[in-house]
Amino acid sequence: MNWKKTFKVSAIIIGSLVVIGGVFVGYIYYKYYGKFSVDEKKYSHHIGYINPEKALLTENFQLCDVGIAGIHSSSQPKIYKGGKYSFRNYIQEHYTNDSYTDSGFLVFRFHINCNGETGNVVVSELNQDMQPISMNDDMVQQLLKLTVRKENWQVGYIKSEDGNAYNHYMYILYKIENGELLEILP
Amino acid sequence: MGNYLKYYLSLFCLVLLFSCAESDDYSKLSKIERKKLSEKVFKEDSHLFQGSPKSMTRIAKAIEIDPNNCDALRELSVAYLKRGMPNKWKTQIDKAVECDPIIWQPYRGYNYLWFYRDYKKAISDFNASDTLTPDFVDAPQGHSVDYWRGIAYLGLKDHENSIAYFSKNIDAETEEYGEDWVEPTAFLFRGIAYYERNEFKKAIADFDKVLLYNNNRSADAKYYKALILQSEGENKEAVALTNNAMEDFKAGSYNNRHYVETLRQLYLKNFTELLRELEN
Repeated sequence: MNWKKTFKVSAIIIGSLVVIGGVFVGYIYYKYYGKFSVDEKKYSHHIGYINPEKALLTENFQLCDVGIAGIHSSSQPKIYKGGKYSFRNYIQEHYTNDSYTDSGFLVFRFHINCNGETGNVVVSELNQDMQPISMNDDMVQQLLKLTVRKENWQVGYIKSEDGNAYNHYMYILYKIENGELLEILP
Repeated sequence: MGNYLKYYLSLFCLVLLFSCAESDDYSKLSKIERKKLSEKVFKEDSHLFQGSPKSMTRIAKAIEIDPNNCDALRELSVAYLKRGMPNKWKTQIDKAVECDPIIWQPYRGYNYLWFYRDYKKAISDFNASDTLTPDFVDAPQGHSVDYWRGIAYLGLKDHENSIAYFSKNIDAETEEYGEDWVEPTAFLFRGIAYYERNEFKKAIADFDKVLLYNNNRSADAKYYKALILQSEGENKEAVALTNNAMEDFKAGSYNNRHYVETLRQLYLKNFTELLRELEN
């Protein structure tokens, strides 16, 4: 048996298969992901991205180096410590309508890191037609403080697949009428 | 040498294949060609992660090609909706409604209802669908606008209208397909509306329907039945039923929604608090 020839043929076959495989994977990647361009000017980040440079409560707050899970921010019961029931009760018991006259939507978008700490808060103050307005600062600060209180939130989001704690994106939307909290969403 | 030439030609063809970029000059295309290209571009996007830069860019491109691609206009709003950005959502969804009110106005009503609890605006959009399509009842997100109006009126605590719309929905579904095709939560919500009006007999009849069509598993139906037993002084039976309801809850048989809390959402603490009241 000519071992040299057998080795050469095998090397050519394996080499060819590797090249074909590489081209195939590259083609699939290109077709399903790579060929789609990004309008960097309009969509430089995913929707909901929070830029820490433009956010509040960024001092001493750092995201863990594990990525952000749950960016769709569904009403995942896991993320509220004691469930949404406890969160709502806490807010309703501690919030005081100090003769505020504001009506509309007050939204806090923020991060909860893998240690359960909150920060990187973006505030949106909107009227009932969802147009930006300026709400009573005292009311906004009161609700901000109550919302991001560390005790409201679980220690990150634990993925069952790997058991690791992740950073989490969350939003809380208050529907307000004359300073009264009508709804706490999502 | 001949072989090398073949390899170079193959490589050239490969490079040519990957360098085929779409032209951005759509003005040369006819209206029909633009519509077709826009649909193609929009469909190609469907597997990309919702709200990602690539996905948003692709949808925007579909709209750029055909500004009347109403599905793409709507799709651009969804990521904002799910990530708590109401003003950006509204800008986009209003464009979709303007583009195709028949399809997207009742859908916007559904969004107002669940994501923003703006019951009046939701009802207004559902009512508009009656005018837009007088010959049939629209069903955004899989349920009739009558069902959604029943929920919206319950949100407003307008029990009379809530019951009327749930009854309309239940009767129509029953007549056309049979009662077992009715969405069980239509019975649940109508039962809650009756309960809140202190019409306990009618409420129990509806909660029993929920249990009938859910293999006797519904934490919500049992919880409300326990509340009725409590109001009648039947605490022993109420305790047993609440415990049973808690088992259903822990097994996942309770009314809830994925992205937002449902109306009259129950949590485990509702059951434990009721038990504490009943046992004192």
